[in-house]
Formats: sequence, structure tokens, C-alpha cells
Amino acid sequence: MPRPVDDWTYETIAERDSLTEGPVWDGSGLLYSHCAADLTMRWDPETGESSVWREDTGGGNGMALDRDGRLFVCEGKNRRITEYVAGEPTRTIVDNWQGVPFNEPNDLALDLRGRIWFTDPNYGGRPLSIPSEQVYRADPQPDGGYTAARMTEDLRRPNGILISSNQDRLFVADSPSGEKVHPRLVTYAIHDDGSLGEQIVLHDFGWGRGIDGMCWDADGNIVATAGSHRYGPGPMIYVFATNGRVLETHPTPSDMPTNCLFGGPGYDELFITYGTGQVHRVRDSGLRGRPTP
Amino acid sequence: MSGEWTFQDALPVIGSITEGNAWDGSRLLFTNIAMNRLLAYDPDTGTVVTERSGTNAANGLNFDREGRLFACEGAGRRIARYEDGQPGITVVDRLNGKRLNGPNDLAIDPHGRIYFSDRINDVSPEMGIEFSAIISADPQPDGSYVAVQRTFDSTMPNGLLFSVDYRTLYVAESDYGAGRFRQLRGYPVNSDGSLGDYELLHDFGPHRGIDGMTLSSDGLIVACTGWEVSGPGGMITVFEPNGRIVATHPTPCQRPTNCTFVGEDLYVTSIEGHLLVARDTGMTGHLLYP
Repeated sequence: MPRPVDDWTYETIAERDSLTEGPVWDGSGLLYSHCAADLTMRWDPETGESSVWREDTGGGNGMALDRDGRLFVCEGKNRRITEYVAGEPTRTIVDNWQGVPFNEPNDLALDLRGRIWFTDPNYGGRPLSIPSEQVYRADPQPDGGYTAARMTEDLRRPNGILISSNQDRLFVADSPSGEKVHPRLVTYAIHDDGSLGEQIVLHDFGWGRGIDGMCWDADGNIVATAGSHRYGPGPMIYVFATNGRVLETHPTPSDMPTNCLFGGPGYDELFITYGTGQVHRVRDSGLRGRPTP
Repeated sequence: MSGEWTFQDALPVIGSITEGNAWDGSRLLFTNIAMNRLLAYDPDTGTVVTERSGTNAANGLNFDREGRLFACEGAGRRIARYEDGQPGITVVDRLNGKRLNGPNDLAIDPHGRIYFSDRINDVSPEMGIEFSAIISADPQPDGSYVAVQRTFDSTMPNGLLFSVDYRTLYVAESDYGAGRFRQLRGYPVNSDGSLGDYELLHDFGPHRGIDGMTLSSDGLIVACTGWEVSGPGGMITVFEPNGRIVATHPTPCQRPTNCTFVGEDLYVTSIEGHLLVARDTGMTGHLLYP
């Protein structure tokens, strides 16, 4: 049979006993979520060790750091988006839409206007709070608070989310769980008034596991974690052009890759988290990311 | 990952669909469906000749192990064998007594069984058999062939291809009807020639799926995909047998139809009538003949 056309070296830099997620490069180390343990861990490249950075994260999953050093967290278990600044109490950004608590905020993307786009799927098996799993946007208000607006109506179970660097496109992993559900990578135009255009399907994962998390590389391509050993070609890092062309695929040594992010001094180290609890670093991907805008 | 490929026109664009590329050892044969002709391109001289006319909208071409040439004649509604200087010989034109609809593409195994896609409402409006399917023409001791239905879940099958070990038949299900699929499917081939339940290797979503495909010597599936209407455009997409996409190469044509290797060069035909060549691909073909 053909040789795997792969070449990346995966280094295990941390390993937890269950799912890791939400990688964020803080400038000198890697923050990541250990969701079931309600922990944010921090891996220090100087020591090569991970330590508990924050506790009681409420099932903290996807995270994003803004340029002012504020950490925004999807607290799935607590059904809310929060802001955390070290040494200060956790602040709720949004916890409901039209008075109804969210399902399980999963992942988020910040735009240049300070708006927080996030996905609200229901993977955890609790009864649905809002009976539709969609993308929301939390918009900052003059009084310092945020309001939540529902941005999509046609997704099935959104997961990873990205905003294009020129702010005109939203990319969402629509990744329902189950048999033969055709997870997809989809995109919408973001209009000047903030509304979205029609959904365009960029990639269909057929009977396999779709995208969990994704990030941008410096060339403006989407680096995505997807796949599992259960069905299809296996766990994989995909590199997609924004028109849906698959530029590269790289099988991962651990199953169920959940998210990925570029970090390191030159933003050329790819960090990958997994459903199996590992955190990998790839230093020879040939790809490069860019710092938070 | 493979490097970028550069495509060149081996010939000026013909202006109507080209298909069915097959290498006979010295010339690249291909069909020009609407013009009912089979052309032969000599890569050494860069010249092309009309090898055969009146081909009844012949589409897919392929050789068996002995080097006999077979064609899917869409308007002829038959699988035909082409011998030099003679009219086409009917291999099969019926299944269980009813006429075929529109044979499109074919793959031949070492036993000489010819598996082909037959499509309802494609070329001929008058219905023969009431379904689209992969059918095989199985050679008999007396030299005749018997047609046997092999898939029961195809609605618009197109290209097909055997794996290196002939234990999997890759089938392009490329139906553009509402609610239909554009997929690469892998059917296990049983020893009696029947097919098991397919594995879905790739789904193209709303975009154009696979037309024709060829096998590389290391078992990769090299497929003609995509269009200008949606998605990333005309493309050669290279799959591992498990459906992993290992490379994509955009083509200068909008809709590539079929491809085959000559050495390390890949020749590609198109809806627009191209004969394109990507040189030094770093891959070679796996062919039953020559």
C-alpha cells in the first residue's frame, strides 16, 4: 500500500487524562484547557512543564486572548462566555440569548471591533437550553456590557470558528456528532451592517469526524483539526485554502485532534490538543502563524 | 506533499469534450465524444491523427491485459471492441434482455471482466434498463460476454478504477440532481466478481465530483474533479485508498474529464476539449496494459 505522505514530527509536550482544548499562546507560553477538570493549564517552554494556571473554569473550552491581555473563555458547563484577567474576578460577558441560557459555548473568535463570535453547540448530552445550535456574537456596548445576537439559523452543531483577517468572512465548522452526518466546513460573507450572507459549503467530511478547532496560518489558509480512527481517513491536520481546496493533510499520531494554534517565538510551532488528552508540538510543519491582531 | 504541477496544452483546444485517455505503449488514444471520433496523439512528435470515426459518442476507453481496446459507446449504447481497420464489435449492449442506456467509463480486471458505468437519461432519451448501475461484461469460454449488474445503489455513476490488488473497485458517484451525491466510493470486490457494501471515501458536498480517474503505481487515486460553478475549481485531486487527500493540483481547464499517465507525465482531457499535460509529476501510472 502507498506510503503515508507525511513528514511532520510530533512532540508530546503535555498529557492530561482527558480532552485538552483551547490552545492560546500568551507570548511566552501555551495556555490550554483541560475541560473536564475545569482547569486552564500553562506549558512553559523554558521548563517543558505544565502547571495549573487557573482553576474552576466552568468547563472552559475555547479561549482567545485579545491585545489588551484579556482572556475570553467559552465556559461550556456554565453556559456562558467570560472574561478573565489574572488577579481579577471572572466577569460574565454573555450568558443568555433573549433570556434563555446558552447550551454549551464551545469556541470563539474575536474581530477587530472587539466583538466576540462564538459557537453554541450541545455536545455534552444535557437537554437543550436553546433548541437550535448556532453562532452568536457578543457586541461590546458603551456602558461596558455586552449584548448577544444570534447570527446563524442554518447550522446543525457548530464548533470551531474563524474570522478572516480583513473581517469580511466567517468560517464555521458545522460538526454534528453521530453516524454518517456529513460534517462540513462552511463560510458566510460578513456584510458591512454585520449581518451574514448565505452559507457556502467549502468541504464535506462525509461519514467521518469533521473539524473541531482551527486557526489561521500566515498565508491566510485555514489549519484545521479533524477526523478520527472510527471512520474515514483518520485523525488529521488539514490545510484548506479559503475556497475549500485541500492544500495539505497530515495524519496525527493521537486520535481526535481537537484544536491547533501557532505559537513559539517565531509563531512557527504548531500546538495541537486532543480528545485523548495529549498536547503536541510540531516544529517542522513548514507553516507559520501570526500573532493575535 | 507534492510540488506544484504546471500544465501545458499538448494540443490546441478542440472546443468539444475530450475523454477516455488510454496509453497504448506509443500513442495516447482519446475520444472526442461529440465529434464521434477517436484520436491518437504521439508524444514524441506532438502530432495527432484521427484513429477512428463513427464511434457513436464513444467516451471511456481502456485496454484489457492482452491489449485489446474497448470503448463505452454512449450513443451506441454498447461496449464495443475496436480492432484496427474493422468496425466496432459489440461486446455487450443488453442486460437481461433490455438495452443499456449510456455506457460512460470502464475498468478491466485481469480476468478480462469489463466493469462499466451505465447511466439512465444521459445520452439516450429512450429508456432501456430502468436504472443506472455499474455492470460487468464477463467473458465466456466461447468468446462472448455476459452482462451482470454489479451495483444497486448508483444513481449516476461515472469513472471507475480498480485498486492495485483488484480487491476494491473505486466508483465515482457523480449525480448532480437535487438531494443526490457526488462521492468517491470504494466497493469491495468479491471473488465471484460481485461487489460488497461501499465505503464512502470522499464526499464533494455540493460541488462537482469525480469524472474520470487513474491509478498511480503506488496505489493512489488520481482523479479529475471540480468546476467553475462552485468550490475550488477544476482540479486533479490525489487520494490515498482510505480517502485521504494527499495533493490537489488546479487545472487550467474548468472541468477536467479524465487522465492517464505516460511515464511521469499526466495527460488530462476536459469538457472544453483540452489535451493537457503535466510533466514530471513524480508519479507513474499503474496500468493493466501495456
